[in-house]
Formats: sequence, structure tokens, C-alpha cells
Amino acid sequence: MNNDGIVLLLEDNIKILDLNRRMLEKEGLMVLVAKTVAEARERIKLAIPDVAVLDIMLPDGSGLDFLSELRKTGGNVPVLFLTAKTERADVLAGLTAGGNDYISKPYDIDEFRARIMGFIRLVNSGKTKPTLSKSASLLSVSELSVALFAVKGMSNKEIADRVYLSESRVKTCLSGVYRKLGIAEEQEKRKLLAERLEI
Amino acid sequence: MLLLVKKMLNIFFGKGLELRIRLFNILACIGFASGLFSGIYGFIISANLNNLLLNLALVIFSASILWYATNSKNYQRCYVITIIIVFFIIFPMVFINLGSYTGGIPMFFVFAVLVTVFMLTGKKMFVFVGMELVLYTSLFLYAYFYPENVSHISNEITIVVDNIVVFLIVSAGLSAAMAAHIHLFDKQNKELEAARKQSEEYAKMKGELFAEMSHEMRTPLTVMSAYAQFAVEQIRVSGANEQTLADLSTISEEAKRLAEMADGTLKILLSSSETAQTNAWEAMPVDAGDLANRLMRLLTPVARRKGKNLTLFIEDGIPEIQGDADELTQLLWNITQNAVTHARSNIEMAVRADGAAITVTLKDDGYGIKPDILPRIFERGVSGGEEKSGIGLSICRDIAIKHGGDISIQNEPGAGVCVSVTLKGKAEL
Repeated sequence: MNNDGIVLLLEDNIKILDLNRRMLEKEGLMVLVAKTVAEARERIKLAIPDVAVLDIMLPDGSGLDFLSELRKTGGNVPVLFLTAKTERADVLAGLTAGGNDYISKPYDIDEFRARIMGFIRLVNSGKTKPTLSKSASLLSVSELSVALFAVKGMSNKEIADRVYLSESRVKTCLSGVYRKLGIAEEQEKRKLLAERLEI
Repeated sequence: MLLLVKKMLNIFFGKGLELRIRLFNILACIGFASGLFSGIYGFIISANLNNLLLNLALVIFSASILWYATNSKNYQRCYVITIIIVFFIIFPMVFINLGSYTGGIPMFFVFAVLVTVFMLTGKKMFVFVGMELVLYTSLFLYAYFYPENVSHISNEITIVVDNIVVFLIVSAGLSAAMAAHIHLFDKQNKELEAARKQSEEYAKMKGELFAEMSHEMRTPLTVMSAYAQFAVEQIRVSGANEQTLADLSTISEEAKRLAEMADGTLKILLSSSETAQTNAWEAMPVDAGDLANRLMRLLTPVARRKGKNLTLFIEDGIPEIQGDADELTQLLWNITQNAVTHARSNIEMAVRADGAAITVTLKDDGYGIKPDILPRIFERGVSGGEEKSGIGLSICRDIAIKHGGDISIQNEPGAGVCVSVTLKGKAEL
């Protein structure tokens, strides 16, 4: 699949965050979500995204500051700012500071999706090795994002808090992961998971 | 006795009266006193009966015109009557009978012209002043060409005394008028300046509120447009499912939220613009709890976006305030905006009943106010922040005092600032 990849969404409005996640997951992308700069920092420790979508004004800081952190760890990850129009001056500053594109809110979801997928294709065309291991590609994108936290040994509740899904949804996803990967032994689950996913 | 004097002073020179009226009353009193004085004085030194009668007429006229003006309130008519009787009849008679230009009477002519300019307006003023100039000039010439028809003072000492007396009376009258006028002018200037500053602050508040709210309204609009677009897409692809239905209800929820925000913002924007235009003091029953609640609903998302937490506590049974809702909104807006700007992470507002009074406290956990500024923080032009005008808090205090209360501010032990505003409840006012 040429279209797989990981997207980081940094957005403090849960409704917009949720919609964008669902929209991109339908495209087969794995989505990491963060509502604050602090959470985004945690997410990029987990996996370097292929594309990052950043809001600028966030409760604990600025998307611009996060951009420079991301550049240090994530190199040339394409960054798209999704931000209110009144912050246009900030956006221009952001593009100067190393952002790649911006869309102002209210936004057109077709345009948003098209730009993300454009970046994904660009990133994948330069890739020699697929983003995901063979086992990982068996999983759906939401299963994969839950699994990513599960290998860190987090409880269902902890995972739910990080992916902004309900605990029962996390549980369903995880059992799907274990079933697809053929992991049965309760105590070994998390360790085996890391081995199978090669992460 | 003292009370009677106070009452008299209040009736004739009270602050509620227009400057011309007060001046008129002062002049009438001076006329009364000087008539009394020079009548008796003249009678004692010269036993001149004419002089005594003339002065008695002046006394009676002063008293009756004062009485008529105070009761009828028809001041313009009284001014004209006074000018005709005193300046056109009594002054010429006094001039002819009491030494013409050898005495101090010409000084009264200057006085008459100035007072006429002062009391009358427009064409009427020009006509009367012109007539006075012609009349008084003619009197001088008449006295010169027909000395047998006028009295001349031949005694040097009488001339000196007469001049001194008239000089003192005229200067006292004119200085009092000038002083009152200048004093009033300064006072009105100050009031105008304060009103201008206040409406500037209103405009600033409106601007800030408008900017904040238009930004806040963009969020539900973004949610609505994206969700609607996505729902259309999903229905096209796979028909409506549970998720699509949930997305559609999200749209309607956001629409409601947006309508509430627009409503709240409009209420504040419209009402404050009305106040700024009329600048009128309208005392209406105000529910302070409701006011705080409305403001909080608007400011909470603003604070949250800045990473700060705004909480509100309202005690049960807050008495109503008899006051101006717009001014009180401005007061609360100013102190809350300050707190949101300076807090590190938390701002707590509490509205409590304290007997018949209401106390609003606002605490933040910021860095506090420099101790050298704190005692002067409510003075105009004093501000904790460099870029601020330093007028916001002084207006807050004016509003609080106007509502029978006060405002105080202190650094909290540990960190932050606590602002408390007390306002009088309706029962007390």
C-alpha cells in the first residue's frame, strides 16, 4: 500500500480533532492525536509521524514552538498548519519557521484531506522501506494506534486518555490486535506485541 | 441660625443651579447689601433723603426680584427686568444725584456692561450693551455740558471715600463672578475629560470583546462546516449510520452554542454602546449574579485558550443592586480581563451576599502587584503593566463608588492578587 503513513494531529478542540482523525483513518492512515503541546511531545516519542497537522494557539503553548522541537527530532516531517484565519500573521511566521503549508479555519475537508494525502505520497515516494512491518499492516489503523500505546505497558484507561476514545472502544481494538496477531497468553501479550510489530 | 444660612446658601447658590442663576443671585444679594450700606452711610454723612430713598428702592427691588426669580424660575425675564431697572434707571439716577463723574459711580457703568454681557445671550446682548454704551456716554456729556442739573462732589475726602467704597463693591462683585465662572469651567472640563476617557475605555472594552468573541465564534463555525461536509460525504458513500447521526447532532449543538455566544456578546456590545452615547445614569434593578454568570460564559473559553482556568462561585440569595448594568459589566470585565492577563493558571471569582451588601472577589495566582505601586493603583495613569493606560482601575473605582460601594486590591500571601468590590444592595440604596 502506497498510502500508509502516520499523521500527528495537534488540535485543542476535541470535535475537530475527532473528525479529522476519523477522516484520515478512513484513508488508511494511522493517526496520533494530541490536545496540548505536552501531549504532542509524548506522541513523537512514540512514533515519528510522516505528516504533522498543527494548530497554533494551544492551551500550553504555541504550535510554532512545537514545530521547532519536531524539526529537531523528526527532521523534515511535512507540517501543515490548520489554524484560524486571524492568526494569518502567525501562519506566515510559521511557514518562514519551517512549516510547509497552511489551511485556515473554517476549512474545506476535501482540501484538507487532499493536502495530507499529497504529503503522504511525497513522503512515501522517497521511502525505501514501508512505514509498517508486515504484521503491523494486518491491523486497522485504529487498532495500530492503540497497539502503539499498549506496547508501552499502558492500561486501557491510560490508552483511552491518550487517544481520546472510550475505554470500551480501546478494549475492542486491543482484542482485535491480539486476535489478528495470534497472541493468546495473557501475561506475555505486551512483550509479544512489541516483537510482532517490530517496534 | 447656621442652619438657616446654610439653607439660604443652598437655595441661592446651590450646585444644582446654572452658573448665570447663581451669578444673578449673587448680584441681587450684593445689590441688597450695598443699597442698605450706602443708604445708611449716605444718610449719616450727608442726611440726604433722596439718596436714602433711592437706596431703599434698590434694597426693595433686589429682594423682590430675588424672591420672584427663585419662585417663578423665569430667569431670562428677571435678567432683562434687572438690567432695565438697575442699569437703565437706577444707575443713571444715582449718577445724576450722587456726584456724577466726580464720584465712584462710573465704575458701576463698567460693572453694568460686563454683567449684561454675562447674563444675556445672542442679539439681545448686543442690543442691551449698545444701549448702555450710548446711555452712559450721553450721561458723561450731559454732566459736563449741564453741570447745574447734576450734583458734583466738591469735597475731596468724600470723593476718595466714595471711590474706595464703589471700587471695593464693584471689584468684589466682578471677582466673585469671574472666580465662579472659572471654577465652574475647570470643573466641567474635568468632568468632560473624565467622560471622554470613560467612553474611550468603553470603546476599548468593546473592541477587545469583539475581537475575542469573533475569534471564539470561529470555532463552532469550523466544527459545523467540517462536520456538515463530512456527513454529506458519508451519506453519499454509505448512507446515514449512527456515527453520521451523531455528527449531525454535533452540528446542531454547535449551532446552539454559537447562537448563545452571539446573543451574550450582542447584549454587552449593544448595551455599552447605548450607554456611551447617552452617558446617562440609569438606575435599574441589576442581578449581580446573573451579570457575573453571563460574563464568565463569554470569558471562560478566552481564558482556556490562554491555558488558564476561570471559576465562578455565586452564593444563594444575592440581593439586587439598584444601578447601571452596563457600568457594572464594565467593572467586572475590567477586573476579570486583568486577572486573566496576570494569572499563572487559575482565576476564581466569587459573588457573595454580605447583609444587604454584595461582595465580588476576584483572585488570581499571578505575580502580584509591585508594593511601591499598590497604594496608588487606583489613581489615574498608574498601572502595573508598562503598556497600559492606567485608567481602567480608576474607572472601576468610580463605578463602584457610584453604586454606593468601593473597590480594594491587595497582594495575596504566597502569590497573586485579590480584588474585592463591594456594592450596595437595593434595600440600602
